[in-house]
Amino acid sequence: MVGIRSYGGYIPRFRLNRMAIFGNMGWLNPANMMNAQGEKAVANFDEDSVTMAVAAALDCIKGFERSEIGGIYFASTTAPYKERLNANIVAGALAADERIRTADFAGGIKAGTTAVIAALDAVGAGSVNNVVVAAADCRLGKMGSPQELLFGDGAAAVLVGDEDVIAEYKGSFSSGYDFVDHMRGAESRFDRQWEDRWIRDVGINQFIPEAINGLCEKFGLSPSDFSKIIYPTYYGGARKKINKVLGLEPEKVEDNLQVSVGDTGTAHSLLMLAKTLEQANPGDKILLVSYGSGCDALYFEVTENIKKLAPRRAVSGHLARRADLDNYTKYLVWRRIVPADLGLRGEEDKWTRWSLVWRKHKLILGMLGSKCKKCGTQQFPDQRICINPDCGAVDEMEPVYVSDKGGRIFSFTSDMLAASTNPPAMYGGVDINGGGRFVMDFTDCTLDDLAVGKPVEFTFRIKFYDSKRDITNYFWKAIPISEEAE
Amino acid sequence: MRYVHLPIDEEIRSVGGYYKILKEGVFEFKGKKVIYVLKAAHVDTSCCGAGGLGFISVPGFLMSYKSEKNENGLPVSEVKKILDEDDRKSIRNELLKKYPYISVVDFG
Amino acid sequence: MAEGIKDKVVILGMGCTRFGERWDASPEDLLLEAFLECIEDAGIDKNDIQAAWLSTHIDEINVGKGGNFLGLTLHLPYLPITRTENFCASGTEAFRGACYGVASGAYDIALAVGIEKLKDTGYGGLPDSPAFGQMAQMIMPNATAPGMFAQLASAYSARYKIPMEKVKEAMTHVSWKSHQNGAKNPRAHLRRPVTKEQIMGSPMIAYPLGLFDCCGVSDGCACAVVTTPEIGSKIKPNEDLVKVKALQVSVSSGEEIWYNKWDGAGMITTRTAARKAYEEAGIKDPRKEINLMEVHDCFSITELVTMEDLGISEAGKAPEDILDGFFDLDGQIPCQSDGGLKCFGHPIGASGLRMLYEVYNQLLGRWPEERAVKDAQIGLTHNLGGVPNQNVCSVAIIGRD
Repeated sequence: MVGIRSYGGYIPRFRLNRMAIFGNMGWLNPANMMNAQGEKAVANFDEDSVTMAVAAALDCIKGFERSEIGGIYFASTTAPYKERLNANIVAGALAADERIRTADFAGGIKAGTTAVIAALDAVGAGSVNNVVVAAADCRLGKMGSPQELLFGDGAAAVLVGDEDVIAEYKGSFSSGYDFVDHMRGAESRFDRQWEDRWIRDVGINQFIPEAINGLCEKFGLSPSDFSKIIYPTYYGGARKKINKVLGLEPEKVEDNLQVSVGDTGTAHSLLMLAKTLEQANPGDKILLVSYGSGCDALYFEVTENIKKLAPRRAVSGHLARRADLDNYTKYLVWRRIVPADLGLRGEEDKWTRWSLVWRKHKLILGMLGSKCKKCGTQQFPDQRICINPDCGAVDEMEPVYVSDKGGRIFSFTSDMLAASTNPPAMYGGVDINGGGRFVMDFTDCTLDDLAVGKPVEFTFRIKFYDSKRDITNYFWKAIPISEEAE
Repeated sequence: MRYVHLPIDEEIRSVGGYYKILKEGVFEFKGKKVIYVLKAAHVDTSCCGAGGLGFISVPGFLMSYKSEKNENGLPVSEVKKILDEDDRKSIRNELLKKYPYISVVDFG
Repeated sequence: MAEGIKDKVVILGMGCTRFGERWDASPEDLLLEAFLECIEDAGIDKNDIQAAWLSTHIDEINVGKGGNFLGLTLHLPYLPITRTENFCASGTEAFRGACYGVASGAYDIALAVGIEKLKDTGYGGLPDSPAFGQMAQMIMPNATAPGMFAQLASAYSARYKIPMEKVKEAMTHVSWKSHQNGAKNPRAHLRRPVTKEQIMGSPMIAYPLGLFDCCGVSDGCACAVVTTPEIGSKIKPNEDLVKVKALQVSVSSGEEIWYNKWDGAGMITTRTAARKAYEEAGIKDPRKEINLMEVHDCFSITELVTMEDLGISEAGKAPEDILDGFFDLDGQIPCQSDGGLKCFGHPIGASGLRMLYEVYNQLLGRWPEERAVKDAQIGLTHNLGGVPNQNVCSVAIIGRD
C-alpha cells in the first residue's frame, strides 16, 4: 500500500501583525487596508526556504530511521540556489544517506503537490521507497503591495512510502495552465500579479473546481464523499463560490491559515494537509488540491496507522510557539528588501572555500560527531584522536550525528558588539546530551530564556550570507526549550 | 542606598569607548517615584568589536532627592533598590514604550 | 630532565613607545621610537645584535608577514629574523625566542621586538579575520572577545557560589585600580582616573561585562635586548641587569571547548604555565615571593580569575583579595602598576614586551616615586591570547638577585 507514512510542519516563530505593515505602508496604498487583518508568519533573520524545509522534514521523520530515507524532494519557488541542488542541502541536514534520489521542484506553486505525486509514483513503481517531500516558501512582495500582506513563510513535509502508511494514496488529477496570475522572472525577487478579479474569476474559480470534479469523475465519487477537502486561496469570495458550486459543506473545508500564517506558496496545501492529519481518523477520505500554474488534486484515505503515529508539532504546535515581530523594518532588513549599514567591518570579505566545505560537509550540514570505540566518549565535532585525555585512542571512532540529541547550556552571553542583523548576538557553551561540548549561537529566544543548565534543541539555520557572491552558508544553532518539552 | 548624580552630557571615557548621561527622569509608579537615567554609549576602540547602544539605569525608588553631596561635590540622592521582578518588568515596559530601541534597562 | 633557563639570560636594555591611537606614526616610526630607546639603554650598537625575533598578531594591515619588516626598517645586516605569532602571547614569544637563542649559546646578543599598528582599519576593534581558521568561520558563532570572556564571569559566580553583584564589585575595583595607575603614566593610552560610580554606571557590552571591563586596541611597539650574564656584566654594572628566571607557555588541548570536564571558571593553561614557571624559577610560595605583576587584563574578569590561576589568591578568594587592595599600587603585590591593557593600551604583538618593560623598570627602581613599586626583586608577567576555551598563555618571571 503506497501513501503517506508521516507528516510535519513548520511555521517560523515570528509573526508580523498585518496592521503594523499597513501602518507603515498604508499611506502609499490605502486600499490594502482590506488585506491588513491578522498576522503573517515571518522567517527569522537566519531562516530561509531551505532551513524551514529542514525543520518541517525533521518534524516529519521524528521516530523514523534516517538510514531508511530513499529520496528527498524539495519544492520551493524561493530556493536560495538556482544551481546547487537545494534538496542535497536538506538531505545533508537530515544526515540521510547520500546514495539516494534527490530533486528540486520549482516554477509554479503547485510544485509542492507535484513533488508528492512524483514521490508516490516512484514508490508505487518500486524504484525508491521512503521519500521525504519538503516544501517551503518565503515569497516577497514589494513594500506596500498586497502580496507583502498576504504571503507568509512556512514549510511542510510528508514521508511517502509503502509500509505502515497513515493515509493511503488512491490517485490524482492534474492540470497545467500557462495562466500567469503571479510571476517572477529569473532576475526578479518580488512577486508580480495581474488583476485580482481576473485571477479569482478566471483562475481559481475555474481551475480548482475542474480539478476536484476531474478527480471525482475519475474515481466515481462526488465531493460530498470526502471528509475533508483542502484547497488554498486567500480570496474569501472565491472560497464561498467554490464551496457553493461544488456543494461543499464549509466545515469540511480546511481552514486556509490566512489569518494566522499567510499564503506559504508551494508549502501551503501541504501545510493545510498536515493540519488535517493532526486530527484525522481512520477511514477519513481526504481530497488535497493545490493551485498555481494549474492544479493537482490528490485523493487519500486515512488508515488505522494514524493512531500509532506519535504526535508532532506540525501546524498546531508551531502556531502556539509564537512571538511578535515588533518592527516592520526588521522584516525589511532581514529579507534584504532595503540595504542596511552594517559598518565597515560588515564589508570585510567572508569566503566560502568549497573544497573545504566538501571535506567537512557531514559536519557542517549534518552535525557529525564521533564516538570512541575504546572508551565510549561521544564528542563533537568529529575527532580522530579521542578527546578524553585518559583515552587518546587514534582513529577508533564511529560516526554519530548529534543534531537530534539536544543539550544543556553550559555558559552564555548576550553580546552587543558582535556583528548581527538581530543584535544582541546570543551564544555560549552547550553540553551535548550524551557527551561533547561546543560553542553555539542561540536563536529564536531572548536573554531571559537563557540560563546555565537549561535544555536546548538544535535547529538548522543560515550561518552567514555572502552578499558579494550570493552564497548562503548553513550550520546548526541552539534554541532554549522548557524542561517539559525536552 | 545612595545614588550619586553624575554630570549630564559629559563624556566618561574608557579605553574601549565612552558613554554619556543624556538625561535623568522621574516618573510615578504605584504611588512611588522611580528615578531613571538615560545614557548612550559608543564603543569605538574596544579590542574586539565596535558598536554602540542606548541604555537606561534605574537606581530605584526615590526616597530623597539630592539631599546631600559626596566627597567630590556631586549631589547624592537616597534611593530604594527595586527588587520585585513584576515591578521591574512593568517599569522596563513603561520605559521601553517611552524610549524605543533602548538595548538595556538595568536595575543595578 | 630539562633544567630551564633560570639565570642564563639577562635583559640588557628595553624600549617602549607611548601607546595609543598613533595617527601620527607609521609602523616604522613606532619601531624606531622603541628601538632607539632600547639600544641606548642597552649601551650597544645596532651591529652588536646577532639575531632577532619579531612579534605581530595581525599582519595583513600591519607590517606584513615574515621578518622582513624588522630587517628592512632597521637595515639589519642580513640577520636571522623570525616572526612570532601566538595571539596575545606573541610579544612574550619573541622574547622567549631571543632568550632561548642566547641561553643555547647560539648567539651572544639577541633582539626581541613586538609591534602592532591597528588604527588603519577604518573601524574600532581588531580586524575581522578567520583567526581560528576557515572551518571555525563555517561552524562557530560570530563571537567577540568580550562575549567569550564574559562567560567566565557567569561560570565563576556559579562555581564558587559568589553572587554576581560581588563579582561585579571586584571587577569594578580591578578596572578602577588600572585607571588610577594609568593616570600616573605618561606613556599610557588612557590617562584619566575614573570613579567607581562612573564604572558601575557604564553600559553592559556583553553580560555581565561593562564598558570599563574591556580593554581597547592601540598602536605601539616595545622591544628588549638580551644577552648572557657574562657579557652583560662587561657592559653594565650587575645591579643594572635583570635576570630571566622563567619563561613558560601553555596552549589549550581542546578539552576546554570539546570535552565536558572544564568548569569554565578559570584557565587551565594559566594554571599549567604558572606551575611550570614557579618550578623553573624555584618559587615555592608565589604569594610571598612575587613582588609585582603585569597580567593580561583584557577584561576585568580575566584579571580576577588569573589571580587564582597563578596561585596568588586561593580558589574562590580573588574577589576578597581584590577588594582588600592586595593588588593595588600600595598593596602587597601591585598588579598593573602601569595601567595594564586597559589604560596603557593593547597593541597585541607588543603587549607581552610592554609588560616586561614595566616590570624591568620597576625592578631597576627607575620610575618616579608616585608610581614606584618599592624594593621589588621578583616580577611576573602573564599573557592570555585567544578565547577562554581555546587559548594561549605565557608566564614570564624576571628578577634581580
